[in-house]
This record gives sequence, C-alpha cells and structure tokens, in this order.
Amino acid sequence: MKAYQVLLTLPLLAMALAALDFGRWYPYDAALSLGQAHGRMVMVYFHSPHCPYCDQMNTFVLSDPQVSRLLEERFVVASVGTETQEGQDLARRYRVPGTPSFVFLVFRKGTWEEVGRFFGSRSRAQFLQELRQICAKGGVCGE
Amino acid sequence: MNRRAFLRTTGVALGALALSGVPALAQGLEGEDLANLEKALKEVLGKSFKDLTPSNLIKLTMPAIAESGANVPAEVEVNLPPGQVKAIHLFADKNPTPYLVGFMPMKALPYYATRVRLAETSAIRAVVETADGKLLLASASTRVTVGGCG
Amino acid sequence: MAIRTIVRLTPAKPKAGETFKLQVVAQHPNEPGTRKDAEGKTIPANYINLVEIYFEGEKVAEARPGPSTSANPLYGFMFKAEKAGTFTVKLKDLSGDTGEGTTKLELA
Repeated sequence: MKAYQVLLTLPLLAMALAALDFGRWYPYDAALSLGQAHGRMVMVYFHSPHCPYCDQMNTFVLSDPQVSRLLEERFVVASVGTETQEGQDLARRYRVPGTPSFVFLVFRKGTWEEVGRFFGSRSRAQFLQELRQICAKGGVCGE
Repeated sequence: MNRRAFLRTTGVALGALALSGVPALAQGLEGEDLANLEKALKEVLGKSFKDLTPSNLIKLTMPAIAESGANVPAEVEVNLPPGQVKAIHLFADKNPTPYLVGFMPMKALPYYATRVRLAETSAIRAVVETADGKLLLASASTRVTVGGCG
Repeated sequence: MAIRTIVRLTPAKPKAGETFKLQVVAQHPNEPGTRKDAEGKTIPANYINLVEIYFEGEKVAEARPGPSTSANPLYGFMFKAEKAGTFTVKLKDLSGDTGEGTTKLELA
C-alpha cells in the first residue's frame, strides 16, 4: 500500500517541480493555471513558423539574458503557434492582428484581465523597457 | 511566404532624429556598440579598436536596410595585391557574439561574401590583417527593420 | 549526416587570367545557440565553423564562420583563372558533420 502511494505521488511531485521552471514556455491552458497558482502575469506569445520577425524575436530578443531573466522571474509565458487550430482560435478570441503578438494577462477578482499588448518585433532594449512598464502596471513588479 | 510585412523603423528613426538633432548622428554610425566590439576584438585579435587604421582600400558592402536580420548579405573586397592580405575578419557591433567570420585568402583573391544574422540595427566592421602586420578597418551600418506578419 | 553542399563558378568558363567567383551554398540550419524553440528552450549551437577550399588537392582558402551565419548559408570566394582543374569544398559543423562539394574549372 505504501509503495503504491509513493508510486502515485512521484509523478505528481515531478510535475510540480517541473512546473516551477518559469524559464520555459507553456501551452496556453497550463500557463494560465500556473499564472493563477503563482500570482504571476501571463504573457501570451502568438507566433508563426514562417514569420521572419518571430524568428528574430526567438533568436535574439526573447533569448537575450536580461529579457529572459525578467520573464523567468516575473511572468509565465504561454506559447501559441498560430499554425495550429487552437492557436487560430486563440488569435481570433484575442483579436491579434498577426505575429509576433504579445498579450499580457493578470488574474484579478476571479477573472483574467488584459493589461497590455503589442504587435510586431522589437529591439532588445525596447522590448525590455515595455516589459518592465507592463510588469509594473500589472502590479507584479512592485512600483 | 504568406505575409504582409509592415515597416515602421523609418518613423521611429525620424522621431529619434527630431529629438536628438543632427550633430549627434553625424558622429557615430547607427548601431555602434564599441564596448561590445572591443571585447570581441580583444578575444579574436588581441587588439583594441584604437589599434585599427581606417582604410579606403577596403570596400565593405552591406545593405542600408534589411527586412528582419535573418539573412543579410555581406561582401568585402580589399584593393591590395593577393599575398598582402593575411586575413579578413567581419564583426557586428550589436550581435551577442560580434565575430561573424574569419577568412584566410591564401591563394584566393582578398574577397569574401556571405550572409549573416544581425540581432538588430548594427554597425558592421571589416578588419584586414595585412602580411606586414597592419590592421586596417572599414565600417558600414545596416538598419534591421522591425515589424510583423499579418 | 552529410551536409548538402553545392559549388558554382561565375562565369562558368572563365578565360585564362580572368577572375571568377566560386560560390558555395550549404543546406544547414546554422543554429546560433541563442534561438528559443516553441517551448522556450534554447536550441544548442550547431553551425558550420570551417569552410576549406582545395584546388587539385592543395588548400587554397579557408573561412571560419561564427554563430551568426544565416541558415542555408552562402560563402563566396574569388580567384584568378590560371589552369583547369578541380575545386573541392569541405565543410564541417560543431557536431562534427561534414559536407563536400566539387566543381571543375574549365578555361574558355
């Protein structure tokens, strides 16, 4: 019986530990659950594989040490590929004009509230500055 | 490619021009980052930016504007007899790793062409090591547009 | 896995004493080591870091590209046509994969 319980709890423990890795990106639903559980802002990142501006964000901006540190410390990133059916549905629901798009959500009073968004690639410095502003506005980065 | 790209760098750049005025722009190249470049020069050549002599013997050809930074053509040609050029090095000031390539012409003419990734709008440097130990420099600048796909 | 390597001369048949371009195109993602995948994980660096040109078995040029070369890269060289012979281009990436392409230089 005991061994059985251990077997049951191990995968759950592993999942809980893995879930604490905010350096990686999550599917939309998982990101929202994590954001709610940990009181973090969710950055929904809409991207498409054939858009060179997304590639530029992935290669140089989102991987920039300062950008990725801020995201890891304060945000949960939801990765939404608009080439999938779920991605298309979400893009329609959030009315994003194209990729790359970033929509920022905070869970307040029992509901998800949009606190900011932007569309299009950015330089590293600009993206970092905008992230900090939205972070402060969402109340997850102090004042 | 199923996309309608939009560009708005020009608007941003014009705004910056209006704010900072012309004299500030006349000094440096757009996308210059000497601190980042300096680290790479030390690492690759063991030299500093001030050890490089600007030279019009080097023709460095970069596009003025590149749509995204994924595939930017770079071409360098040195107007020195073959045998007098030991190596040609290319750097991009703003890249996380500024060193783009080192080329040893050996029996080839002192010419090299490639396509590179640029992190963002950046100054590009061609540094030529001559057979007699001089380090010659040519600089250019490429503006990497920001935008999205609709 | 061998890297697909294509070598082309322009003009295809230069005259003796004329300069010509040797262009190499390779099929390779040239992963810079800073790109994030759709799960936010960094894809490890794997780019072509050695390009060697041989003419009739003798090494005649070498390039050492860094992590910022484009995917499916192009490398262009220039030579003076002196005699007919075979160019061999050898590529190598960080993982140890290699590619080889050859082309014949014929004089007009």
